[in-house]
Amino acid sequence: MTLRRYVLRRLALTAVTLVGVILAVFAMTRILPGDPVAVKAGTYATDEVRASIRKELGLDKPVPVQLATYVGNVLKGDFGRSTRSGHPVRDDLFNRLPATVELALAALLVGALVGGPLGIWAALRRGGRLDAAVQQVAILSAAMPLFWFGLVLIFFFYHLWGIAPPPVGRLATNIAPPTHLTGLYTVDALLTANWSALRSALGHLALPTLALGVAVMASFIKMARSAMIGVLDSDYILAAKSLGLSDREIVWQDALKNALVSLLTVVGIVLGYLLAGNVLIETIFAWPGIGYYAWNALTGSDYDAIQGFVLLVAIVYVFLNLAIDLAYTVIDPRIRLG
Amino acid sequence: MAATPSNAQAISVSPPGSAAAPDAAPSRISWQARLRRWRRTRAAGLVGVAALAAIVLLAIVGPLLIPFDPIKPNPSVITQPPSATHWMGTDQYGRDIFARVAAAGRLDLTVAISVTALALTIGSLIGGVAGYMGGIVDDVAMRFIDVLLAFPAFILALGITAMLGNEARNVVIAVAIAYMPYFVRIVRGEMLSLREAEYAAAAKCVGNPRPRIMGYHLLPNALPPAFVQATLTLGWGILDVAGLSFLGVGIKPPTAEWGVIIGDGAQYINSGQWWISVFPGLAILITVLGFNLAGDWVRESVLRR
Repeated sequence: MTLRRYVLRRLALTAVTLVGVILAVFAMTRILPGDPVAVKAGTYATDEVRASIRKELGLDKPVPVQLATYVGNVLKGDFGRSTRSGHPVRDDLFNRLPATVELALAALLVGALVGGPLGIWAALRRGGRLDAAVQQVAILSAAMPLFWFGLVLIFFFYHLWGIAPPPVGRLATNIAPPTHLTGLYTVDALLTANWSALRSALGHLALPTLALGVAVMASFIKMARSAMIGVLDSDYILAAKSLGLSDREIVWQDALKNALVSLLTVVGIVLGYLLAGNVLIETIFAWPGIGYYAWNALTGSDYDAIQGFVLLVAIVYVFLNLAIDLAYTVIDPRIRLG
Repeated sequence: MAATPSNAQAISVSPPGSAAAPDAAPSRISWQARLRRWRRTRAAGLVGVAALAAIVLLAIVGPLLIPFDPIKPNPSVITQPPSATHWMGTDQYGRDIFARVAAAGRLDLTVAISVTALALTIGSLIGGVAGYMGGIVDDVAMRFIDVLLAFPAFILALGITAMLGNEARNVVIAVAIAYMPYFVRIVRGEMLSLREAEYAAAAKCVGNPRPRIMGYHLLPNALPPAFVQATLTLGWGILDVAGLSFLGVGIKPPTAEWGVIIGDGAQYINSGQWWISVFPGLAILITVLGFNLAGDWVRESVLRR
C-alpha cells in the first residue's frame, strides 16, 4: 500500500468513525431504555409537565427527524444550551478547554519524563533489584483509584504539611489571571513575566498534575521497559556490540530511536486516559476545565452539557488517534510500506 | 512480563483505530517454557491471590464480626476516628466505616464479576461471528467497535449511565458496553486464524453446519486470550464503577459501595478526617492489585505464545 493510499484510507475511516460517534451520542439519549423526560421531570411530575418537556426536547417528533436535527446542529457546531449556565454548551466547553489542556499536558510531561527514563533504566538492569522495584511502582500505580490518590495527596500536602495551596481552582483568589495568550495560565504568566501569577498557577497545578502524572507513569514505565528490552535483544544491537560500540553509545544512538515508536503508542493511550481521568481529578481539585464542567452538569441533570462534553472528548480522541497514526508513517518506514 | 522476542514490539505496532492484523502463524512456545513462566510469576501471583482472598474474607465474614448496620445513621457517634469499637472510624452520619467497607465488598465484587461476564459473553459472540463470517458482517461489526473505541472507556460508561439513570443494573450495563470492544477484537483476531486451521476444514468436510463449526469447534479455542483479558477487566471494572459512583453517576448513596464511601469522605479530607475515604480506597487498591497480579500469573501460564 502506498503512503498516499494509506493516508486516504485512514482519513476515510476517521470520517466514518466520526459519523458513528455522533450517532452513538444521539443513541445514548434516544434509543437506550433510559427516559430523559422521566429523569428531567423527576418522580412527581404530572403528565402535562412530561408532555411539555417532551415537546421542549423535540421528542414528540419521529426519531429520524430528531436525528437529522441533531446531526445538523452538531455539524453547525451547535451542541445545545446548558440549563445551568444559560450559555451555549459549545462556548462553555471552549472557554474551559485551556484549563484541561494545561493539566493534561503537565501530567503527560511528568509521566513521560519520570516514567520513560525509569522504564529504560529498569530494562538496562533487567532482572535486578532496581528492575523489580520499578515494576512494583508501575503495578501499584496501575491499581490505584485515581480520585482516591488525589484525596490522599490533598490530605498530606495541604492538610498535614501545609505545602500546597487549598485544592480549589487554578489560582489563589487574590491573584488575577495573566493576560490571555494561550489560556494556559503557566505559559501565559511566563510569557508576560507575571511572576506572582506564575507562582500561584504552578502551586495550584502541582497536586493535580502529580495525581494524574503518577497514574500515567505506569504506562510509560511498562512501555519503555518492554520496548527497550525488545530493542536490546535484537540482532542489530548484537551487531553493534560485536563491532565494539560501548553500551552508552548503543543506548543513545540505536536503541532509543527505535523505542520511540512505542512511545508514540503510549502517548495515544495516555491522552485518552487523561481525557477521562480529568473528570475525577478536576472534580476533586475544583479545576475549572471541561471535566469539572461535566461533573457539574451531571449533578445538575444538565443533559445538553453532558452530551456536548462526551461528544467533544470523543472527537478530540478520534483526531488524536488519527494524528498518532499519521505520525507513525513519518517515524517508522516499515508501517508506510507494510 | 515476558521477554519480548526481538523486535516484536516495533513490528506489532498496528495503527489503533484500524482493525488489528491477525498473526498469520503465531509462534507457539513449548510447555517447558510455559512452566518456567509459571514459576517466575508465581510469587507475584500468589500475592495477588492472597489479596483477593483477604477481600473476599472481608466481604463475607466482615459484617458478622461487628454489630453495626452499614446503612442506618447513628447521630451519637459522628465522624469518630478509628478506635477499638469502630475499627475504621465512623462517617458524618455516624455509620461504622468497617461495616460499610465490608458490605461494599460484596457489592463491588458482584458488580465487577457481572460487568466482566457481560462484556466477555457479548464481546466473544460478536467477535466470534465477525471473525468467522468475515466479509460485510465483519466490516459492519468492526466499524461499530471503532465507534465504541472512539470514546475513552470511562467517558463512554459515564455518558451511558448519565442517560440511563443511576441504578446498579445500569452501571453494570454501561461499564460492560465500554469494555466489550476489547473482547470483540481479541476473539475476532483469534477466530481469523482459527478458521483457516485444518481441523476447521475437516469439520466442514464431514458435514458440520457453519454455526456448529463456529460455536462448538472454533470458539472454545478462541476464548483463552479473552479470559486473560477478563482478569484485567475485573480490576478496571471496579475502578470505573467506583469512579462513577464517586462522581454521583454510579451506585447511589446511601448504598455501601467503595466509590460512594470515598465520596462521602471527600469533603472531610481538607479538615483532616482521613479515615472515611482512606479505608475504602485501600480496599479498592488491594482488590485491583489482586486481580492484576493474579491475572498476570494466569496470562503467563495460560497463553501459548
